[in-house]
This record gives sequence, structure tokens and C-alpha cells, in this order.
Amino acid sequence: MSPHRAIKAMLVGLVLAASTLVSATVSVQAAPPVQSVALRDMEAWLVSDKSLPIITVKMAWRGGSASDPAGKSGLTMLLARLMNEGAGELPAQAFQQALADNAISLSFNAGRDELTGTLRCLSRYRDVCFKLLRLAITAPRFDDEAVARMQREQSAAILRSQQSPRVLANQELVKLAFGEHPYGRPRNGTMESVAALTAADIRAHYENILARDNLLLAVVGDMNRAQLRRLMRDVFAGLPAANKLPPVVPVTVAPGPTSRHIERAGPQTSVVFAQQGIDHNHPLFFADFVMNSILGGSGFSSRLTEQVREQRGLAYSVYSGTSNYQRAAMWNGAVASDNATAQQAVDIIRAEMRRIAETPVSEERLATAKTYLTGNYALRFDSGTKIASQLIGTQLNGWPISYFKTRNANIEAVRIAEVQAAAKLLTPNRLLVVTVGGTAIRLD
Amino acid sequence: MTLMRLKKSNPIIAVLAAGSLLAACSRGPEGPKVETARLDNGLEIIVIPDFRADVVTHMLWYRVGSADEPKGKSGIAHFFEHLMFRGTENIPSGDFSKTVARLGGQDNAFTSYDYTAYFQRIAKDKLGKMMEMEAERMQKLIIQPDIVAVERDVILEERSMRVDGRPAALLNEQIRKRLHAGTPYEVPVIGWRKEIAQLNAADAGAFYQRYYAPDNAVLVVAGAVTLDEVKGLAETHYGPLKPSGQPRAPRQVAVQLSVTDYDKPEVLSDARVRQRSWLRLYRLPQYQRDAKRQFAAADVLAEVLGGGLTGRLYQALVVESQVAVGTGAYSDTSRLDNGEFIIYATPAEGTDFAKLASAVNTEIERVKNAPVTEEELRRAKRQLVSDLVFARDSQQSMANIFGRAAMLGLSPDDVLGWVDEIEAVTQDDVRDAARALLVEAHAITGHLASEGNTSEGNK
Repeated sequence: MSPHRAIKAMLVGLVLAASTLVSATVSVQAAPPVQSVALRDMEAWLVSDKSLPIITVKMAWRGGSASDPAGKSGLTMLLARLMNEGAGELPAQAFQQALADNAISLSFNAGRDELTGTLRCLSRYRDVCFKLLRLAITAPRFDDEAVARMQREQSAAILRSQQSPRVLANQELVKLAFGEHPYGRPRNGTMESVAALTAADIRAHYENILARDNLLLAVVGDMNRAQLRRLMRDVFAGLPAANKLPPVVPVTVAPGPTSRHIERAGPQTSVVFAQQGIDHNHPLFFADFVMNSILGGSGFSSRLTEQVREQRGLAYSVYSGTSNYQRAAMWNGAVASDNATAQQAVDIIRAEMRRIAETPVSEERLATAKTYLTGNYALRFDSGTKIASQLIGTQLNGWPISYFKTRNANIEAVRIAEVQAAAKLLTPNRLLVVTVGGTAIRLD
Repeated sequence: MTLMRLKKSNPIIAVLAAGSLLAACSRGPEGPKVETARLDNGLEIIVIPDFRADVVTHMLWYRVGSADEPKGKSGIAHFFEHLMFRGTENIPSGDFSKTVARLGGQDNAFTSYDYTAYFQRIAKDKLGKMMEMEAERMQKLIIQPDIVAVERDVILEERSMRVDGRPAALLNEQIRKRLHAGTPYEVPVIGWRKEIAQLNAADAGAFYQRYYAPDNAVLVVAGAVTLDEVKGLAETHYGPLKPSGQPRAPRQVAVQLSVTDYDKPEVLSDARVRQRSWLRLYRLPQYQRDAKRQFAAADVLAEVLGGGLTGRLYQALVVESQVAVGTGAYSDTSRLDNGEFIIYATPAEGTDFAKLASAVNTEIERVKNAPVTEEELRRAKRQLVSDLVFARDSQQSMANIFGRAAMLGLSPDDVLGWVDEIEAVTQDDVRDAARALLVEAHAITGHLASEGNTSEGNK
């Protein structure tokens, strides 16, 4: 064995973890001091920490795959794939070599509601790092060669996603939930839509999305305020003032009960389920967060894990919680169980949904949930990468910079009656359910 | 086939000065501080101080993994790891994780071929409590047959989810079964389904007695603590545990690396497959300290061939000939016994497996026959070393790196010294490593195909 492979093995995934922890939201005094840095019409959040010579920049532009134009689904994802495939005078290979030669990691991704970018570099190469970032953002090339190559990559990703029972089931679930609304479409698009996209489509979409009025910025590590201002001026000030995307219209999750089944060979049935949830501006938002933690969102401690996994051995993984869409709120969950026991697993989940709505949780259980959620917040701030994710995520939700200080207090303030009120919004008899495997689920 | 290699002519591209990266991750004042100690009962301690946040990662690593399992009991190491959460004299079943959560922490565990590790991430002031609980389950676990039966079902569900429902995972199992035939690595970590179904409380008890003792474990703590603090707490909680005096037994290692029927690909054809894929696993010799130059060269070789978008395979297969839509390579040498060098590719629509293999073989021949360029060598080294620099950002990554190394018999100094070994690799070393390690007769090639369509492109 060589030491490097001790490092890489983490990525390779040759280890089996006892459980997959489901992450929830963001922190309190758990968080380090966050500063706001403004330059003209732009704002960035900064956590300055010189203990390591590393800089992490996370950027996001509101407008993700839900903003793909009609008939061009997959366009934002294709744009994201192309944002580090050549810029300025540097074609794709030269640009990638420049990144590699300077130990810079730069990647982009398309969420449903935002296009995101992540940059990581060593502070002593700050200048070249920011020059390459500026090129990527202000002068991407979208060469025909790179466009065609990324189209092929994206098509392969679409096919591969159809091999995963969970992904397949979730794609069907959002179709049931959102119908023709863009949230119902897969972020990678379809084989047909991706094949039809052109370099002109990509450039037009790039010009519509990348602007200053929808830009969010988070910077962590070996940077001070002056350096950050320079970054904002040199890299982002050259973007147009306003984006040109049409707004995504709000949408609610279609009511069930509805179940869909996709037959697939294998011993197990993968089940996903959903209903309307509550959004992060709702007065019960924190109560819902606590309720979800108790029900199905806190890994080994949740009631679903206890009832479905620990007591009965019906599944390895079971969870539920509220999903974060900017223009919708969906409560959803998943379980995978043997074809012979999948129905039983779903029945238990629905029984637990009823129980938490009908019987108030105990003082003790509430207190335990609170110490878990508040204590855990600090764990999301123990590395620069994680801190940057928290900063950008909090901005994406539209929360103020004070959120890091008030979040835990808001959790502490949740009362039993509010947990129950949030639980009463659960509708176990009106779920949307999609199954992939050997067993269709009955919702009677 | 020739590769277009663009010259770096753009003035903005400042190339990193040699050595600047090194300082941030090697032995020296700018490198990470990693301290060690040892208790009288044999428990080794590794501490990686990081005071950026008031939290710690507490890990206990055991020198036992699936490769140490008795014949016919495959899966017991991983199964046993699950049972460690299922009740001790003072902690009822399920309460271990609930207690960690109640204290605001997270916990989990993982099992591999050569080790099993348990960890909690939590506020620094709870470190003593974590040690108390971890020490308790090292020697006071209660194995109850009814709970064993339930947990066995959980593990069968885990196997269904990870392997039996995923054709690509099934193919990997079949390839390794042939590649490592006659050695413990022929068995998957999670175990064969039929054998998992037969595991029982007696098997678990025997496994526990044999391997769970302080002299077979390494304590790793990363985060807001000093070595003295960790040592004090460890004396209190782990100090009283009795050593077993039984280190794990040496295992069967393949010295002769040739594989039976190496020229017959392992084919898995399944209706669930929508995107075909191709891969090849080469069996590597066991790591030896006097061969570390070759192993460092293997890391560089993997980077030159398969390191991201600038690697030779990507340029040749995806950019130029377009026989593939994705490809890469890496050397998995974090093994006690035989490691693997892995090359994979996703064939383009209409490209058959033979054509793809031939394109890969061309690149392998090329790297065997001519030295890599200075520029490729420099880039590969920089990528490898920067991985280690960036790992310093995460206390959990640091704990994982040094803990895993300890399981493989490597000290923190060995890990940091690896940087110097990488820097010392020459162009000829890379060519020699390719000649020595990428031997056709040492490898199994796998084809993942759509049912009824084993070679041609699919849509």
C-alpha cells in the first residue's frame, strides 16, 4: 500500500459504512464569524482564516435547470459541464492543464434553482487562480469540440442514471409531483433534448444566467476583505448587471394517493414517496425541521430507522424530510426493502406518520432532538469547504447573515404543540409513491 | 495515434515552483503536526491537532477486516461491525448512536478488507464520554441471538441495495473473484449472500474474542485537542482494557501474479444495464518498503494515464478517437496484500468492447515504450501532492488518512515522506512501473453489457 492510496481509497469507496447519514440544514455560535463584504451592487460572505494556505470560493447564480427553456431540458447542466472546458485564448485541454499545473480545482454544477461553481486553490497562487476563474466566468469558449464531447458525456449520464433504482424512482416521483412544471424534469434532460442542444443555445443561456443581480458569493480561508474586494472587482464586476431569465412559477405537489410501479429484476424494491411540504418562510419551518428529525431525518436516532431497521430488519436505509426547492416545498422519503417486505415497510412508515401527528412527542424526545440538531450544527463548520457550503446554502435560502447566530435559538424555541401541528400536515393516505423492483405498493 | 499537446504559451499561466506545495504537506514547520503515543496495553495513539473549530473526530481502528474472516464465514467482519451498535453491559441496543446524537454528535463505522473503524464527530468536551463508550464496547458487548437475526436481515437488505440491485457491482465481484482467486481478496467485503444468511451469534462471538482488544487497535483523534489531553483521557478509558496478545495472522498473498484465463473477459449481460461499461483490473504485487520507488511511480503512472481530463486516456479515447465518452485510471494500493491498478472506460455509442480495449492497449504500449514527458511528470506530481495539501482542510480526512495508513503498517512519518517519494519519481521510473505492473496476464477485463447486446453499441 502506498500512503497516497490511503487518501484516494476514501474516494474510491471500497469501504462499507454502517449507515448513510442524511444531512439536514445549516448553524449558531457553532459558526465562525461571518462578514459581509460589499462592492457596488455585489455582496459576498467571508470567513477569513489564515491557519491553512487554502482558499475556497463558492459562487451561485439563481436560475438552475428549472430555468431551462421549453424543449431544451438539460441546457443548464450542459452549460455547467462546459464552464471549465476552455476560456479566453485557452481551448479545453490548455485550460485544464493550466488548472492542473497550478493545483487549482474548479468545477460547476447545475441545481434545480441555481448554477453553482466551486474553486479551491492555494493562497500563494491566488493571482493565477483568480485569473483563470475570471476567464472561465467572463470568456468561456463553448468550442464545438467541447460541446459535442459534453453532450456525449451528459447522454451517458442519463443512461447511467436509469440503472439506479433510487434515481429512476425519484425521476418518476417528481413527474408525479410537478407534472409539466420544470421541477418535474430531470436536470440532465432527455437523450432527445440533449442531442438537439447547440453551441448557440449554450451561449444564449450563459448570457441570460451569469449576471450580478442573481450572483451569490461565499469565500473561506486565507483571504481578507481587501483581497475579496479585488476578487469581486476583477472577476465578477464585468458581468452584466441583470440576468434575463424568466422567473420560475411557484408550484404545489400534486395530491395523491397515486402509486406508480416500474418492474425491475432483483431481490429488492426501491420505494420513494412524497407529498406537499412547507417552505422555509412558513411559520412552522423550524417545528417542521424538528418534527422531521424525530420522524425520519436523524439517521440512527429517527423513529423510522428504529421501527423499520432496528426493530424489524426490513431495510438498510430509510429516511424522510423536506426537500429544498425555491418555488416549491416537497416532503419526501425513501426506503428499499425485500420484495416480500416492501409493503410492510411502507405500512410502518405511514403508521409512524400517523403516530407523530396523533400523539404529542414527549418533552424528553423533543429535548433530545434539539440537542442533536443544535450540537450538530458545529460539525458543518469544521472545514473550509463545509463552511463555504453553509454560507452559500444560507444565501440561497434567502436567509440573513444573522441566521448563523439565530438558527439554534429558533430550534430551541420549538414547542411540542408546534411539532404536532407540523406533523398534522402529513397526509399518509394521500401520498405519491413510486416503486422500482418486484413489488407495487397499495395505499389503502 | 498522436496526441496534440498544446504548449503553454499564455503568460498568465504561472507554473508552481517546485517545493512550494511540498512544504504544506510534508515533514517540516509548514506541514501538519501529527503526534503519536502508546499505552501499556498496546493501544497506539495518533493525534492530529486542528483548532479551527471546537470539535473532534474520534476514531478507533481495529486491525481486522473481511480478509481475516474464517472460510465460509464471509461477511462476518462487516456484520460484526453492525453488532457493535447493538448493546453492551451498560448501553442498550441502539442507544450508542442515540447517545452520541443526544450529545450533538454523529457516529458511524466502516469495514474494508484490512480494517474496521468506528468514529464519532462531536464537540471537544464530549471526547471523554466517547472514549468511555468506545472502550465499553471493545470488551463488554452483549451478543443476543434475536438481535443478531434482525441485524442479519438489515445486512441482506444492504447487500441487495449495494450489490444485487446493481449490475456494475455484481460485475466487480465476479472480476475480483477471478483476479484474486486463492487469496482472501477474492471475497467481497460485504460477503456472499448465501454465507451472510448463515452467520449467527456464535460466529460473531468468536470473531469478537479473537480481534477486539487494545493491542489490535489504533486510536486516532483529530481536532481541537493536544496529545497530552488525548493521552490523559485514553489512559482513563482505554488504559484498563486487557490486551489479547494475539496479533492477526499473516494471510495468503499472491506472489505469482498471473491470472487463470486472463484472456477471457468477464462478461455480465443484464437487462437492467442502459449504459455499457468496460474495465480492467491488474493485480499488483504486495507493497514492500524496498519497492516503494515502484509504488510511488505507480501512483504517478495512474495520474499520467487516467488523471482527469488532462490524462492520456481521456485525451486519446474521449477527445481524439472518440471511442469512449469517459475514462480514467487509478492505483488502489491501500491494501495489506495484493493491490490493484484499475482502468475504466464508458464506450461511445456504436463502439464495441474490442475496439475500446484496443485503444486502451495502444496507450499502455505507448507508456511502456517511451518515457512520459517532463511536463506530464510535473503535472502528475503536482496533482498527487496537492490532494494531500487539500486534505488538510478536513479533520475527518486527516483522521482517515493517518488511521488507514496505520492499519497498513505505515507511520505518520511514512505518509508525510510519501511526498518526497513522489517528487523523486523520474520519467524512466514511470515507464519501468508500466512495464512491471501493467502485464496483460496479471489482469481481468470486464464488460458490462445490455442483455442480448453484448458487444455492439446501445442507445
